[in-house]
Amino acid sequence: MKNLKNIISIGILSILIMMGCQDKEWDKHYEESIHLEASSLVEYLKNNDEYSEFYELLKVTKLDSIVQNSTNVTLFVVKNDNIPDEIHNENVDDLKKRLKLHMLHGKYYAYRIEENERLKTLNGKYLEVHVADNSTISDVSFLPKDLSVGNGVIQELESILAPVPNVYEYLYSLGDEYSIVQEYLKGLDKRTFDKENSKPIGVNEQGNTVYDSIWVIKNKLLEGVNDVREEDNLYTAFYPTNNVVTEAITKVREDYAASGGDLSPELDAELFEWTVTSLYTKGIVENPMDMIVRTTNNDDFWISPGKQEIINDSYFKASNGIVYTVTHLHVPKIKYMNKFVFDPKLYWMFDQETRDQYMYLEEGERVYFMQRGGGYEPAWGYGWYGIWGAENRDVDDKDSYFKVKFPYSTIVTEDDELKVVSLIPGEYEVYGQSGITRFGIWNRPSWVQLYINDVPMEEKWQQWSWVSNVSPIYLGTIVIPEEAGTNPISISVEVLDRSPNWSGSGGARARNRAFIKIMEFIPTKTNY
Amino acid sequence: MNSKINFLFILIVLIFIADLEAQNVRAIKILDAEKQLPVANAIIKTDSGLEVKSNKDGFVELDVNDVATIYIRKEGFKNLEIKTFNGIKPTYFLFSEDVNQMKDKFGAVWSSVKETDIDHSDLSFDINSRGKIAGVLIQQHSGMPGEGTEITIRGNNSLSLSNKPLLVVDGQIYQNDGYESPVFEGFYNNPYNLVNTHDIESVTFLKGSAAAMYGSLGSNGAILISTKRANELKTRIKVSSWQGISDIDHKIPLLNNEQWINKSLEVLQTDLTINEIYSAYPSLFNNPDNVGFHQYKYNTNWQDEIFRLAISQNYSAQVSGGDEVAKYYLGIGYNNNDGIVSNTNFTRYSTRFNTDVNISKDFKVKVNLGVNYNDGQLIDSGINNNNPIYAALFKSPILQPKKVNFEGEELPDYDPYHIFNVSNPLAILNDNESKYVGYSLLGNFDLSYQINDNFWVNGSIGHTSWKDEQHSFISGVTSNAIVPTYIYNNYANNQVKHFVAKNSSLHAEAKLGYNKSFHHANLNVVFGTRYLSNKYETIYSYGMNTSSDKFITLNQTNPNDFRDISSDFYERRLFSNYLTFDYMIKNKYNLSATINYEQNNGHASSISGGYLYGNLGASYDVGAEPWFSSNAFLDILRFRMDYGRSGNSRLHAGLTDKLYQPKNFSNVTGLVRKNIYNSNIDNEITSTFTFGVDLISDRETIALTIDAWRSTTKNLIVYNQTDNFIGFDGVYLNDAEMSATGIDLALNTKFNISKFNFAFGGNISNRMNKVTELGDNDMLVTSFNGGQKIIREGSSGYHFYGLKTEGVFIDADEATASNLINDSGYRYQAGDMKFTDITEDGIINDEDFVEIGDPTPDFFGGFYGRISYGNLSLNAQFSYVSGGDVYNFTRTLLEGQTSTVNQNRSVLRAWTNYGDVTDVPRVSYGDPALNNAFSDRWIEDGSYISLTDITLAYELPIKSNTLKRSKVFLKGRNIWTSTSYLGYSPEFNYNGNSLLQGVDYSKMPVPRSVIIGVEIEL
Repeated sequence: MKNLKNIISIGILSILIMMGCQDKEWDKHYEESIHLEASSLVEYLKNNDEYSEFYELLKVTKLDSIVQNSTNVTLFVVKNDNIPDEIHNENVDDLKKRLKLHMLHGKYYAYRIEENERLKTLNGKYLEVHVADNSTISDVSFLPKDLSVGNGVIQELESILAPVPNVYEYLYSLGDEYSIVQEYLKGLDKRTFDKENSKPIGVNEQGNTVYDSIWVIKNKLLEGVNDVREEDNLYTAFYPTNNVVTEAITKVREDYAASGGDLSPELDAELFEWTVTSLYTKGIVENPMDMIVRTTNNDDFWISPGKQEIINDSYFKASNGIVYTVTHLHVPKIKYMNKFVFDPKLYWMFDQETRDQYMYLEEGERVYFMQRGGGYEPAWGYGWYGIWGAENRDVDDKDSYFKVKFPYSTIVTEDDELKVVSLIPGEYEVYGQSGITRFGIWNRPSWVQLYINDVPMEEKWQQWSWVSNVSPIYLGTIVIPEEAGTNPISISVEVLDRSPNWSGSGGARARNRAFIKIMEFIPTKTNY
Repeated sequence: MNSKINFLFILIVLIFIADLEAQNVRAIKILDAEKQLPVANAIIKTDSGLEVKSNKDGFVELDVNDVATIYIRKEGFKNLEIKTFNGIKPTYFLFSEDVNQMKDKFGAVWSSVKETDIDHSDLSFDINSRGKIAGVLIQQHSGMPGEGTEITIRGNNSLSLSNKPLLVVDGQIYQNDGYESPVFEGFYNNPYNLVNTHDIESVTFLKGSAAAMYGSLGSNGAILISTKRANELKTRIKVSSWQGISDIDHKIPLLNNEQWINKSLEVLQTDLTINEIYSAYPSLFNNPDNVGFHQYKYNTNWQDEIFRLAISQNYSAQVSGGDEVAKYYLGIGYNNNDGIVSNTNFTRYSTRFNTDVNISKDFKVKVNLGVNYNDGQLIDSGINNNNPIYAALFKSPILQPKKVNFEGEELPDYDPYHIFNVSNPLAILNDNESKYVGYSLLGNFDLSYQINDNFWVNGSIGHTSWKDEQHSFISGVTSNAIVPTYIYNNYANNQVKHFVAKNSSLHAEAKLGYNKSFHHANLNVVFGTRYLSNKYETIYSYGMNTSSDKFITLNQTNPNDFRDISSDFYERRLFSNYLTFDYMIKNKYNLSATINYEQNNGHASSISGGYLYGNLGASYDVGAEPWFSSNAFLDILRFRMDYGRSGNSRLHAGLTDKLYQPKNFSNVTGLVRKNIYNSNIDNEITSTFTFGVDLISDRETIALTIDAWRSTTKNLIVYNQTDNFIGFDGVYLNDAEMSATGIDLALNTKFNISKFNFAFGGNISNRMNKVTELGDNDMLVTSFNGGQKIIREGSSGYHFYGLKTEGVFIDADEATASNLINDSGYRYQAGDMKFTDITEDGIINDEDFVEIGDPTPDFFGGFYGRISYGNLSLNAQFSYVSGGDVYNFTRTLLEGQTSTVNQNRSVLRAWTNYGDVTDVPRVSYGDPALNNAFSDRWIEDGSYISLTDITLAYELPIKSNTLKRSKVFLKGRNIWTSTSYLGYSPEFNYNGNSLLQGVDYSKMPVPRSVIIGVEIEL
């Protein structure tokens, strides 16, 4: 029996020995790792006295435990000699923000960092890298160390980094002379309940769920461009001083008054909003002179003398972009002008005195305000109205030609109200319906040329006969110069080719008669 | 060739040379073979009528003049018969009744080996035969219960056809080459579990040309199973039961939550900025303020979630008995195996009824019937979003199985797959339906009539049929926990698959036998004719996108999305006539031959010309020479040789027939041609020459058998990939030739030291292959998922074919100096893999592929040790494979570092900075450098030694008239494996296909188990 025991125990022992050998290859493959200088970032700092002050700062701000517990962190350390003494006087929160600038998620080795790369720090802000001759990180010399330790990589900087404000923070660091914009933006902040992230913590007496509420500040304007308060994207900011804002608004009001209209309080408020919300655009715009940029309020912001003027070569480089100061703001007309309509139909809506004032024949034989099909009085619903030139039955006679002038026009406001205003200077797209009525040879096209202030329009009409009720077509763009003030606009119509004699019964001759049905002047998008 | 024939001729001449006879009065001693004690009172009879008993010292003296045969009998021992023409030895040994003698174990002329120690504590005989038989490699397909093993006898003779041996149950051919399931990826059905191990009397493995009488079906050897029959009239009852637990041997060391976050950040940073990562993968930033943070703060080892301690149980009962006229055997069994992956299992209900009826003294009838019913719950294998093992390896550890609320309380639903795009393994296991049901029936009817002393006739007819049904529903629409599969331009948010395979076959055989004993010789001649038909049908249907995961049937799938129906059908008929001849002279010269003329319809559905197969063998037992008898030590010293020719006719329909398959185009299904068939394709013909030596000592303390063999396969079918413009992948041609040599060696020893009985032994086999001819091709490259293999003229078969590596570029200087780019123009950088530029053209591409591994083992086998003391015995069985290379496909994904899937711990030493010396390259999203290309980095040594079985058994010392025997045992299976393989288990076999041999696609690992059982015989 003793033998048996021996044999069994020898057997078991040898099996155990074999089992012990088995895992060698396995462990070698799965458990072996690369040799490291230190087990962790903190351990490395502890063991290296030349960084003791940096480590001390980490301890003061309690960031050492964060560094210890994080993995895959790159830490930019600074030697004791390069840490200025005054830094110890900084308050802990500021110091914490500053030190977090020295920490990155991920392992960054020198070979991996690329020119102009932006490295996001645990602070949330980015560091900017230049690796040309003298490597810098956010303008501080970078001394690559490339030291792998257990939970990350150690790199070195020549001096300690300081946080730079972002474009939003920078606005509030500016003085009171920017108070209009500052306050306006703050006023748009809205504290909202974030249901998705709030924990339900119970049910109240009414059976409604009660949340451990999380509130978030939402700002409609800023979220329109991705929030400029964050650091992940780059922005260009245009900040106007209070004076610039006030000036721009005053100019609009004056213009408006000159055109004969009165600015509604709502529109006035809108125009104010425009001046204070054309603040940001996405991306970095360098040297933006003579550029059109799309800004926060989703409008084109034309940076050019006489339009929006900025100080081009004096800017602030913020942590998430660039800030320019606006010295002159110009509100585009399209912001407060809808369209000017020259509509002969409306002739009948005013009394005779006003009619004469609004529209008169400057040249030509005669002009009729008439209804298609005859009749000079309006008969609503029968057809349309136009200004008609004199009828010309003699082919050798001068063509039907006339020129009308109107010093004012109507604006159809948003609530379909008619208003009589002047066509104020600016750039307009002209749309219209005009043409020629003919009698005689029907199947031959003829052409009508339109002139505005004696300038021929690009587009000519080709007309077979009576125009049907088609919508106005684009005729061209005109600029009414500032010098023109609110002087009357002239519109002329000329028939370019005539119908030959009609050889039909009665020997009647062709009748060529030009007309204008409607004209519209729409401020162009870039109308400044 | 000539030399072989000459050698045979000389041997035949020798056999007929008359041999010396010398006889006189002799004293012999009779000993107990095991205990080596004298056997007193043994009855010694001679054919001259003399009867004496041995004395207390086991001695007996008798006059052997005119005596031809001496019979020795003693209760408790096997009878012994001595032919005096073999000489008379001074000592004879008697073996006790319940010992399986070595003599019976090894075949006389050709190589066959009989396994009589059938272990009952498994579902099927194959699993427990691993490592036990020389020349037979048995590898488990996987640890999936019910999936079974791949058996090859003396390696693969074919590169394209089945290499499975023929299975014959009680003389009836069972045609089942298995099939690869279209429903459960990688699942291979197991033809070997159709007989309950409790019902098996013995299993014989026929090697080389030993299976010649089965013609072309026996070209890969054969496995003959004999089921139990009643061998006495007394009613015998045996009941047994065992219970077992299994678990996974070891899990792959994966990254934990923190390590995974770091690694994923590193990978993503090679493609995105931190800011983009932050918005796309907020969960990677350990910030409690992030939306959904409560879902991402876990540290789950998903392997722990899916693997479990599995329980298996088995109950079986056998009754046998009868009277002089009829005897019966009835066995029933229930076997339930849970898989080590949760929710997988396999259950078998089996019955067997065998009867033997003696209608008259000369007329006997046997009826055998076995019926099985199996059902199971399976899983997908492979790189597949529905493979729970794949999902468990790759799923992020920061997630957890169930959805959670803000308080961290578990909700009932499974957590969705999230942005990381890996299915929830528990949803795969619990929300999906994956059923398997199988039926099989195996019955035959056998009549034999003894016409006179010399002639007999036998007729038998048998039928087998089996049917498998598989149904799978992969959920996902409702739970969002399983990643949709992209298939045919559609996302399958859920999928329904259904598969039915049916097989029915008929085996009819008639035999006329003649046996005659001459003065010193025995002649056995059998003429037989055999008819076999086999009909195989499958239907597979697929649909996707039912409206909810509650609807799981095909008719609920969306008709506007992709649907697929395909089927397979073939009918094979085989007709053969054979003659076997066996002539034995004086128990020492043996000459045997088999001729088999066979016709089959394998080719283009018409009966084609016949094939002549057969073998010729001779043996000479020096141990039976009278002049050798004085040497008491050797009982058998036999030299044998054999030459045979056989063919592999298991051509699948795709080779020989036009096939059509349904194809979906613009939501209309039509039939298109599937293949280029080759109507001229011919059977592969294998010739084998074997030379063997058997040496067995008279007490059987030592038994050695060696076979050295050489085979040549002509007409070898190889797959030739065709040019793209042809529109089909390739065509099979009888283009190649292969030759192989091998050695099978088995050694068994037994001895006692005091009351301890020891037995040790083992076997070793190898096969050295050489492709001698490859048609018009110098080489053939065939790709598979993840890599490719090559065959060249002169090589040993399919070899892995890929890039060679020389480590990882340490720094930029080294990378620049190499001046290497890849195919897409990428310039290799520091931290990338350094591939060998074989062509030296500065470009790493497929022209630089070389042979990087050989999946065929150099040698394999097993060894055992047994100690018994009284009623107690301890038995250990090892199996080993040496030198087979393995492509660890799973590791390519676990070490790729190209996405956010979880990785193994070796990636912690990945290259990160200049100067890092490591074997794991840098991280890179999407792998532009192709660092993970198929290369020797993924080829591992698949060698292993495994303690496949260790059993401690105790025979209870209680015996009575009613209780014949009772035994309890404790067994450990696969409890120890030594390997350098880095996957779960070095033992796997994807689907038996030569091309995929040695490719590891995350199948369920082979578990280790502990089993406790009891057997009682009444």
